Amino acid sequence: MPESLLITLPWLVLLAPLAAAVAILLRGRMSSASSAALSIGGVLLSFIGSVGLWVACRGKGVPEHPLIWLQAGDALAAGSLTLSFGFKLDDLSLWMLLVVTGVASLIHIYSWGYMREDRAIPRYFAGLSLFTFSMLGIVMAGNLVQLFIFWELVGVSSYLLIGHWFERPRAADAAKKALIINRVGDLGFLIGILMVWSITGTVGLGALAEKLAVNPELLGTSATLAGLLIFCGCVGKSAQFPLHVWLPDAMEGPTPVSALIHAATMVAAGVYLLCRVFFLFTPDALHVISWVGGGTALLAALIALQQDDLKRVLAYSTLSQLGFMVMAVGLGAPSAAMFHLSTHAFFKALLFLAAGSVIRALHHQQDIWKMGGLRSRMPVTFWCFLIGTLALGGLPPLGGFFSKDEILAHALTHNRPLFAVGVCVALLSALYMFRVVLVVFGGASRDVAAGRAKESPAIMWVPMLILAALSAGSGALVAVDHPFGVFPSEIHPPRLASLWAMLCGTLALLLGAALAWRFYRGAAVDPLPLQWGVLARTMRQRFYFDELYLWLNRWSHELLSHMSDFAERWLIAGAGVRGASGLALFAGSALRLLQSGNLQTYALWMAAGLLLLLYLFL
Amino acid sequence: MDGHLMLNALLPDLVVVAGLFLCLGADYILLRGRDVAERHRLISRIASWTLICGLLAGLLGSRDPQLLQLQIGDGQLVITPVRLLFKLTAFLLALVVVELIPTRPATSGHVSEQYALLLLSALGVGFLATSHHLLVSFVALELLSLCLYALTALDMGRRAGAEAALKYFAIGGLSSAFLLVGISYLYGVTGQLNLGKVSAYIHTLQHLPPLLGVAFLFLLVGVGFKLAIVPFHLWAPDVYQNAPTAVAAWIATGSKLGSTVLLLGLMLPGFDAPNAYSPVSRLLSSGLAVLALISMLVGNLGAMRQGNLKRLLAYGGVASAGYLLVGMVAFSDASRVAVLFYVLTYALASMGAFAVVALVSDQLGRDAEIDDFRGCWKSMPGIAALFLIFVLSLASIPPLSGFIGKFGLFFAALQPPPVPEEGFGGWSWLVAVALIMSVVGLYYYLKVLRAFLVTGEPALPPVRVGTNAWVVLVMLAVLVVALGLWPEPLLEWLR
Repeated sequence: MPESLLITLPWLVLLAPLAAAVAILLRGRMSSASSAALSIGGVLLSFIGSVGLWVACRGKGVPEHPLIWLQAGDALAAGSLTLSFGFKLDDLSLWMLLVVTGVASLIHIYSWGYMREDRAIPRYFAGLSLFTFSMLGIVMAGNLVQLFIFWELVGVSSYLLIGHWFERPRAADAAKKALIINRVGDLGFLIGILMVWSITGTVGLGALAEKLAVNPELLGTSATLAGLLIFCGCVGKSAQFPLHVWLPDAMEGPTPVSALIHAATMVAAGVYLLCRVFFLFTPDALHVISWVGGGTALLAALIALQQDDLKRVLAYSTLSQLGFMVMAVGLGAPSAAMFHLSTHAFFKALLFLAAGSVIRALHHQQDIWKMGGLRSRMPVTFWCFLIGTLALGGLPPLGGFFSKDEILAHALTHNRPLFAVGVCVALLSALYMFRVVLVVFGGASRDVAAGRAKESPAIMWVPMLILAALSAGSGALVAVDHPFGVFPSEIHPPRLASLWAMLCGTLALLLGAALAWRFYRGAAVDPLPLQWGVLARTMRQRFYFDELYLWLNRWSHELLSHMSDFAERWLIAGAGVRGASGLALFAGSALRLLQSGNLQTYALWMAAGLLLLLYLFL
Repeated sequence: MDGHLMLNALLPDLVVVAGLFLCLGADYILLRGRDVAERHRLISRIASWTLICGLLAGLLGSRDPQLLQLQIGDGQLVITPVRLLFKLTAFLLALVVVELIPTRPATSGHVSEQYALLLLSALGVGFLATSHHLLVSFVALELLSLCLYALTALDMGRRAGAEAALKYFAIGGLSSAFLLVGISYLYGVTGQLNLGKVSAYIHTLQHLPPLLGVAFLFLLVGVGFKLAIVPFHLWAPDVYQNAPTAVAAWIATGSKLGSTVLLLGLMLPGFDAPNAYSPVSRLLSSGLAVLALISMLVGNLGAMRQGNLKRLLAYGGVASAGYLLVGMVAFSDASRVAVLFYVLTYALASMGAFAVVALVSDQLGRDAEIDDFRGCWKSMPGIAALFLIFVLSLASIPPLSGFIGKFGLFFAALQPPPVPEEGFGGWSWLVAVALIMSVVGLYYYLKVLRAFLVTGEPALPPVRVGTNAWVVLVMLAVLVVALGLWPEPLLEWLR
């Protein structure tokens, strides 16, 4: 590929969705069809460009041509500041580009079918395109500041899309919740970036890696802290414990949005970030990361087992799988994490799209106990959902099998307790997913709408079929040599560990499926609350995290309000307000006095100014 | 001196001079006794095409590398990329003003005079930007100022306008006197009028004579008046409020551009040669810092209490002069670039804000009270959206250009100088005050926006905005946004 094309192509990939978003926004009253066409065209263009880049540059990387964005201060003096805008396109980001644009293209197309009856389709597609642009910005970013800017843009577009049906109070609340909780994580991320910047003097990803390779002690004692602060960003965006509460609520957005943003791409950005700056983390930091990931995986899997809302089950399943990926990074296996990220992007997008197909057929019914018997009425959806479930559960030779077992093998070699956690999560995943399959598609229909459901149109099931093929076939990536780039510090687990991991993983799947069969075959109500009592209730109530946060929030508000009441009464009202308002009034009157409109006064003031300067100068 | 080159260098100005006479001639000879609106239409078309031709001539000249390092005489006419950019920006802003002059003045029969004075003052700004010579700068400044006095008074139906013009004229005359005295003192000490040579002479001195300090002091008063630096700002609120809005816009932007170049020429005589520091900086810096401080305080606190939008913008302009001085006190290359960038972006955004006021309230014959703009979002969404961009840039919200401009100023003030003996860095207390004052600025700018976007039913009927006005407004908005999204090309140009 010629050099000039290699410079322009990344720009095309990045800007095509933005152009679509801007065009839709500028043409205020655009028809639904043309806005959809623009948006789909934009993302397809990005996809084609990404494929071209991947084919031409895999293994070599695209040469960087950063543009200087802002240079402040004297370049010669100490403490000057140069920020550039460039793309870092190595194997890792090239592969991520493919995943993001590929899944996004399919979901854009599916959306056109799913949202057909919506009133605000142009707004929806503008948001979707804006999101795609921001997500690509994260993937391609050449330095941390640029990455952070797009990170925030992704947050904004996610806010817009969760709140697409803003007239529903729950959607508006969920959008706000997502935005605010993400701010908490982003604050840590920002402080981390500033810390790395102030110590190393650079934010460029390539430059940073080089500097750290030359001098691993560069960050000194604050290395662990800086790494964990950057991990905060991932905790927010990838919804890890303790900031996981926003993701299930985000399911109030349209289902394709849930599939694209809150399952396949945006929430995976946190994991991608960890892989991107993997060289920054110290062993201590990695240890913390692995336990946060493992803990989230287990917790979310337990919660998922007792949810009744179809999308919420999938949301908690996403949490759990993201925890799995974060755990993999923590275990020092970023390529395993990226592998699972890719397979997960396919099968989770597939599961969400299939769920969307069910929800739409049942007129926005999401309670799984009001479904049932859909296997014969929606065969394509059923088979797609089943493939997604098996891929998630890790049935050989589907995609999830290879990626999950690679993570388990790493856990077995590096950290036995986390291996046990991983196997438990695998078992629970099989259990909750087969619970959904059996309740939604098996048995008899338990509701009128479920009895009259019809298969969705082709524009929806064609993307599903493609994703099903990808979910099934993505295991083939295992045959590719380092598809996600080379991480120098990564050690591959011995063959024996891999075999044990495969065995345990598959057994966990079979056991989980068997348990689900026993509990839920033909069940009309959930038997677990009766059998498991308090445990089931706690799981159903999501371990009371929302209540805990609410209580914490209220308590801290109380404390703050007492404190501010004190400050208000004694400090502000007493000295501050009276003093300040007096001062402001005085200043105002003095200024008005100054502004007398009288020419002589003006001249007098000029003379006074002159005298002041004279005093200062001489 | 190559006559051809000189002709090329002066081509934009010659075009404007020709257009000026064309305006007057057409009005006096061809359009005698015609309807005022028709005269306005034709003359404004001539004026805008004149400026467009001037711009094109300038752009054409900018492709000639020989022209971009031209120095004629003793610095009477100096053309560098930065200076040319300022000159052309002034023409561009004048082009916007042409579109803002109301076509239905209630009483005044003066038509072509307005456009002619505008073109003449644009010439003044252009010469101010391209001169490094004290006498030429003085003449150019007077050319500009006299036109502005006349333009302020041109709406003869308004007594307040005449009064403001008279005050402006009297105080302006006083400040010109200061400037002239300063120039003569400087000449007396150094024997030079070229600012570069003045600086070179000062460099050779062992001790700075006290008279030099007095000279710079007087010069500072003279330029401080033009830039509305406290305590030489008192004319600004009266004039901004009572002059026709188009004229106020021109005073706030074009005049500011030219005066800033003069101020930079005085304070940093190495204007065209980087890394040249003036020994007088040590003398001036504390005085400038105090002026910056009181300008920010008076400008921002004064603006908080204003109910009239034009007055508020006037105080905002005073505050912006204060910020500009914050950048100036470091006396470094970085501060030169930062000041130039800031004043350009400020001029663009300020022109946009004034343009919206002119289009909306002048057309309806209102006095631009903030309350008048209530609910503008509902009646004129496009105008309100553009106004949002301009005001947010004035309030320096990222990613708009106003933010980058202010960031550069504060950064320059904080950065330690490359050579510790020359220049001054580390003005952290001044930057701290500037940051607090920026928050105050946010308060009153957002107050204006709230009136525009949020509250209640529209107070004014929608106004018809012509195509030309739309074009210039959108152009300004695009510049304001683009320079914020990617400032580096302009910064590079200014370095």
